[in-house]
Amino acid sequence: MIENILLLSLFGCVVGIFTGLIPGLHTNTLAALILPVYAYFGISPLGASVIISSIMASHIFSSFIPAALLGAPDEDTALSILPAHRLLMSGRGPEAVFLMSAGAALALMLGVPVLFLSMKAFGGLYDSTRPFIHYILIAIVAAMIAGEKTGKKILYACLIFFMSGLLGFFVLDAGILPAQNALLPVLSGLFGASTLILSLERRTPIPLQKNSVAAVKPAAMARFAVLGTSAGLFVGLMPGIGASQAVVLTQQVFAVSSAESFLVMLGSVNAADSLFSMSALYTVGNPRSGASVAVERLLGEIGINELLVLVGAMLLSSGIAAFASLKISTRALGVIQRVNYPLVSRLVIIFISLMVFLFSGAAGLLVLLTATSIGILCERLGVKRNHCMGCLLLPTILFFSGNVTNALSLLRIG
Amino acid sequence: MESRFPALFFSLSAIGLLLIYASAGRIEAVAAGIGSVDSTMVGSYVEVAGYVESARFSDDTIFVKLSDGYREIDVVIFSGLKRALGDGAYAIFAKGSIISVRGVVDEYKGVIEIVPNRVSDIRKLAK
Repeated sequence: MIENILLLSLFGCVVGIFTGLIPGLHTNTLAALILPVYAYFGISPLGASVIISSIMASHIFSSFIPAALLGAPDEDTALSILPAHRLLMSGRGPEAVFLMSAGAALALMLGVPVLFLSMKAFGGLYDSTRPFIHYILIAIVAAMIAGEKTGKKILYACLIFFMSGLLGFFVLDAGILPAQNALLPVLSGLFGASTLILSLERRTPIPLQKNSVAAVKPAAMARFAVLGTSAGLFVGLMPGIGASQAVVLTQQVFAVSSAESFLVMLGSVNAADSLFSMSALYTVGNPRSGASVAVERLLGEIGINELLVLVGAMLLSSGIAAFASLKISTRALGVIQRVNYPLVSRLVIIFISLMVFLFSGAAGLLVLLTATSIGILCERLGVKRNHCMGCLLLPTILFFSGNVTNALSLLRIG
Repeated sequence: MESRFPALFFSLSAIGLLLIYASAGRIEAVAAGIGSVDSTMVGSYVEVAGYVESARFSDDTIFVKLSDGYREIDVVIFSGLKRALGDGAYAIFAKGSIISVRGVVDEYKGVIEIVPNRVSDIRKLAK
């Protein structure tokens, strides 16, 4: 039995490493593919759950690579593009991947004892904070916008927030794209394609990459990992809030300013979110991610034994994936430096466009084009790119305040 | 030259948003039988019709079971739409009412459900 679990976890780890390298391929999609076929291979429901958990864990680490090195993110790594790109352009690309991976690894090490020591409190935490979430988010958005230096920039920040917020609202709540594919064109445009187009415009060649020592001291790294783990715990329990929103919240509340610290925190939030959203099946009795929905369909309600197996599989998979991702990123950088980086950027833009068209059709391309324009406009106006997170924050505020219907009526949609 | 670029990208963004807004108002729901709505349709915008088997009203939400005589499906009305429907919701979701519902197919705890967002998504066809 234990040998089977180990083998299935290793299998899931390898699959997750591979899928994380492909932008737009989400663990939820893979989980949905496993459900109808696992029985044909003589795999038990617990075994299939182990595979899904292991894929989810290793996918996190390898997904940092396309986000950091190519500017091609998924919804959870979108915010990493700018700080990672900054490091890449100062010859510290491997460090970007290391920082995110270190943050993720630390979050898992911190998160597991937190999970088992305090799981009884989670249900109460969720129930007590849910009525106030939209107030918290509004306060955070106000602080983000007020953080701009001049009155003119504050107005520009409001413009970017509401334009990206409207885009997110149309896509997520007005139903112009299928829900499971809605975020790819929005976030790829706002953060991925726009960054690549701007770098093409500047014609900046990618400098020689060094295996530099991380510029964050271990104590500081641990501090940001704790912040990220806490934020990941919060969003792992809350429906409707993803890792990206948690990162924005934490950045604003705790004034995380350096690119390096931000990347550690981003990695932590993503890993902690995956851990707590999977274990929410046990702690609050509800799944909180597509992968955990799949596990619930396989196992029904899970007990402490199943939780231990799934968490163990996630840790094993993460350890291997962290090591493998660092090796892959170093090799990938070697290849990228030998090829024409502007050509790579153009190919990535074409690839993103093809993926969007494949999953979302012409409507998706229109969303991608609009999102890219807003992302470039943000840079042209000289305001912070995190205002583009309005694409998620505004729909989330409307949802938790119960105003989605009012907004649809106000805009006379439907 | 540089100062014209913000206007160019603002125009592109605004035109894109207008086109997306225009298409949002034209989304057609796919007519589907209750029995045919399954997990492969998660995220799709569908329209189903049937009679109200049961309706449970909580503080924030209305949970409706809609049936076509053979199969049932859950319809979930969240707080915003519940407020918009007001007291009329009791008449619409009275047991035995025949209604049509348009909404997004979702899956929650392994159960397929339809989530309407607009008042116009729910129509009472007959009592």
